Amino acid sequence: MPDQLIVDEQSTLFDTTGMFQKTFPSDFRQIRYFTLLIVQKAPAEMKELNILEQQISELIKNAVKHGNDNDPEKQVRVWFSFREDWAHLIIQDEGPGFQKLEEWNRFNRERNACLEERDFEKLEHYVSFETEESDEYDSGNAMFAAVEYWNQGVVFNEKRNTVAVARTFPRKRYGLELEEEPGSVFSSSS
Amino acid sequence: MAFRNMDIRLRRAGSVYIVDISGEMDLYNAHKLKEVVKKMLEKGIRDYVINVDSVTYIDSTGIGALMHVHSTIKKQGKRMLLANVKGTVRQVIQLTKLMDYFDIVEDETAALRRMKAEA
Amino acid sequence: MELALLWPKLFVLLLLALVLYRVATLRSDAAGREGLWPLAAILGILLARDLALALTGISVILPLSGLAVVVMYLVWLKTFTEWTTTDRVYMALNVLAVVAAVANRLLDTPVEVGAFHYGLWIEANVVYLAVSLGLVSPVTNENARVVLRTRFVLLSALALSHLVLLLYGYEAALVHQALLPVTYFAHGAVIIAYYRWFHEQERESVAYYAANLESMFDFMKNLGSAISRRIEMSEVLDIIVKAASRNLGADAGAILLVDEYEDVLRVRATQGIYPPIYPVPDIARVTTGSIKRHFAETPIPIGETILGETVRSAEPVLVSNAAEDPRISGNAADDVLFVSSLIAVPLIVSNRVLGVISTLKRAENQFFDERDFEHLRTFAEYASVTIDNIHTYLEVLEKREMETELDIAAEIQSKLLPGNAAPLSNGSLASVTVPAKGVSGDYHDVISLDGRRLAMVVADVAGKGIPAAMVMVMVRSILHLVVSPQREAAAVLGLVNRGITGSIDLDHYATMGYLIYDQDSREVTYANAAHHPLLVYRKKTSKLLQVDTEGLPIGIERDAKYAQKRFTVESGDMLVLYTDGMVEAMNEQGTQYGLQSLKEAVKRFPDAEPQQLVDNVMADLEAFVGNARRHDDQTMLAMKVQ
Repeated sequence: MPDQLIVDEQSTLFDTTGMFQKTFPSDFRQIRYFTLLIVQKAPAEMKELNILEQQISELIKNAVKHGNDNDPEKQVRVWFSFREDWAHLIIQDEGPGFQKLEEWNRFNRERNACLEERDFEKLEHYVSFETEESDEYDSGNAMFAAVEYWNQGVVFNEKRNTVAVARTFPRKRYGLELEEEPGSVFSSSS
Repeated sequence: MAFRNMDIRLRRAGSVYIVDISGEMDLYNAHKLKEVVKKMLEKGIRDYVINVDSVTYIDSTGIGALMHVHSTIKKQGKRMLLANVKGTVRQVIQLTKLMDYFDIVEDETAALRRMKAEA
Repeated sequence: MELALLWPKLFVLLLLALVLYRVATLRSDAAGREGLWPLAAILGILLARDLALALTGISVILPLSGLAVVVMYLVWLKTFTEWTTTDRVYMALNVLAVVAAVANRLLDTPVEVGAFHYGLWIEANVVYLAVSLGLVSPVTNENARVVLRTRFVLLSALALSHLVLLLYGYEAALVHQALLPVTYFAHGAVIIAYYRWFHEQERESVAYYAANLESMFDFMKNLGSAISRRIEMSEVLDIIVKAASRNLGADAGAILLVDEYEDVLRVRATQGIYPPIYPVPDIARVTTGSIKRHFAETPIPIGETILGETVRSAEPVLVSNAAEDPRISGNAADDVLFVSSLIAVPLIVSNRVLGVISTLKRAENQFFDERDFEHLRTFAEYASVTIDNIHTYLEVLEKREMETELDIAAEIQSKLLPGNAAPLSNGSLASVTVPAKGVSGDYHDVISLDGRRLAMVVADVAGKGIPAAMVMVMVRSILHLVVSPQREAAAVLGLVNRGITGSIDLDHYATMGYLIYDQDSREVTYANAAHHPLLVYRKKTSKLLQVDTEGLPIGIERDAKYAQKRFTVESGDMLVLYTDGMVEAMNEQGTQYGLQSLKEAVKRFPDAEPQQLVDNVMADLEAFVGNARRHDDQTMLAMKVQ
């Protein structure tokens, strides 16, 4: 998967068929609670629910904080669906949209370059993606992790106020399947 | 501010100070770490071992706080090690590709050994 | 030639033929059966010779047949080994010699070829046969057993008999009366050697299978007792690999299983030091411990190395001499990683390859053979079935544990919910909770405050399973503690919130609706912690109102403040509380039931008693949802003002 944010209004990830939907007020204090409401629909057999929950709360935090400016009058709408091997969410806020998306991509590329060259001093400059709107609590790390975690992509709509993410989990399987029945030591064909 | 469980305790092992963090290092709490370390730096403490064994949850703000203290301590020419990086904490640090950025040691014993060796 | 001498010879030949026949039918799958036909040919040559001699008296038949016998013995030897160029040259020379002898007989040549020359030529053949027999090595040729046992007798008989012939000629009575019959017994010795050999093979295979069976029973017993002690896959695999190694006299063994997620093999049990058969970085070969560790920790991609290939192809493989196999010989020169012989057998059960079991010999000139190969294959089959059984058992156990957890949560929930609502003197109540499997988040209660007032509560705990059930227990405990006739609705919520927030380590959030009803004044006070609004059906106006107040869910903020609304009701009015599960219930098309449908359902039964109303509304919801899966508990409370 490309290591960057994409803008594609036509992406299949925006198809809400069969997804649950919930709407939340943009209350910073309730972010963990909203996340729990969403994650409780995930099947119990799913692996690593902890990290899934953490990644979802980051996205909601972004919508509440950056999208809706912590304004409880504004809503965050979330569509979500889970399967044992699949997690898919669409998060929409009422804000002006992530207009600095391309800059973020460039910033991320430069950050990755620092990591590859192991230039940790330079990396310090890539801790937080600061724009006029962000403050000192914004570490920017959330998006770095998100781009890694959602292996089916992090896709924005044209307006950039709605983001769709998805991740596939490896399915547990037991042994490898054979094409035909092999002979047996106990059968006469040995 | 929402009340959420995060505890910071300090211990001493010789000249090394161990910062035991327990609970959730998230957007509500993470700043506490920065405050504690700031005070410790003012007191002139040189060797820090940040023990995240009992951290049950960490998000980007928590990572940001760890990066902040790491960089501040380093800039002052002092030493910081991160110990007991497991579970979700480990996964989040891996996702942000910061495993090599921090000085990670397996546990407290390894941390103290290293501090002593590099003294 | 006296015919009288014919009969004893024929008799002996017949005897030998019978023995040969018996040997041939002894074991249809015996090794070395190919060697029997040259012997039969020899008997045929002897028979033909005796008959021809008796009938025609041509003495040259003797040396001719003598030569044929010696040559046939070489052919016999070659059924165990390969024809070489020297052998072909030898045969060509014999053909020339026969042609020369015949020509000499028929044509007039200056040189007279006689018994002496024939004898000499045949002895030369015997020498060649002796050398060929001598070259047979027991090490490289297991079937040569019978050759080794009989070659001395054979050579002596042939050499001596032809020496006598050479010295006395072919006409002497001694030859016909004593020598020839004696030589027949030499041939007989060879045939009898076969007889012994086939018998041995029979006994050996019986003993082999008996030993095989014995060790299998031993192995099964060990396995059985290990499993009855404690069912642990790692322990079982350990027993299997140790038993297999011991039985095969292997120096090391290992079992690798296919990883559950990736296409790699992971080492799950080892015996002895099983060295990696792929290149190893220097740092890992420092000590035997580090080698063992490196092997144990390195996953092998399926298809790579002989082990990965075994799994991919599902074919067992025997590498008798590792030095000759390029797949393993990479590390052959290495002292530390030396392997002399290897067997790898895939573990297969009902069309799935689970992994591979492999044993090694690690000493110079120590090799596995076909027997060992078959032995390990038998082991592997049994091991596969055992592994499969345990896996199934563990899966069922895990599922059972998960279900038990859910069952416990459901039981806690059901114990906390009120059985029958307390009847009111001039009102009546009904409630229902339809739990969804694995959720157990809804809680409702009816608490009598004093003679004339009661409280109704509905709550939806976030999360599911046991953690949610535990939060529910706490909520209920705190609620029952703080509820009192003097306490206002909003205050109760505030106290419950305070009690929950921060006091436990679990995620502890819930929405809650709390209502106080005064039967005498017909006053209702309602406070809401982010729960759905209270529905009030006004009989007089046939209108359905919503009563809601501002407030955070419980458990978010310790000092959260809650508000309440107060209003009066009249006879025939209906109060309805409900949870998420009702309005968010989805049908198969993915449409939600919605608040509108709920309201309409309530309005449809203006005169119903609470129980009836609850039943009807639930029925309407059921009809809407159809066969779609239930994702959330559904709770509804209804109270009718008398």
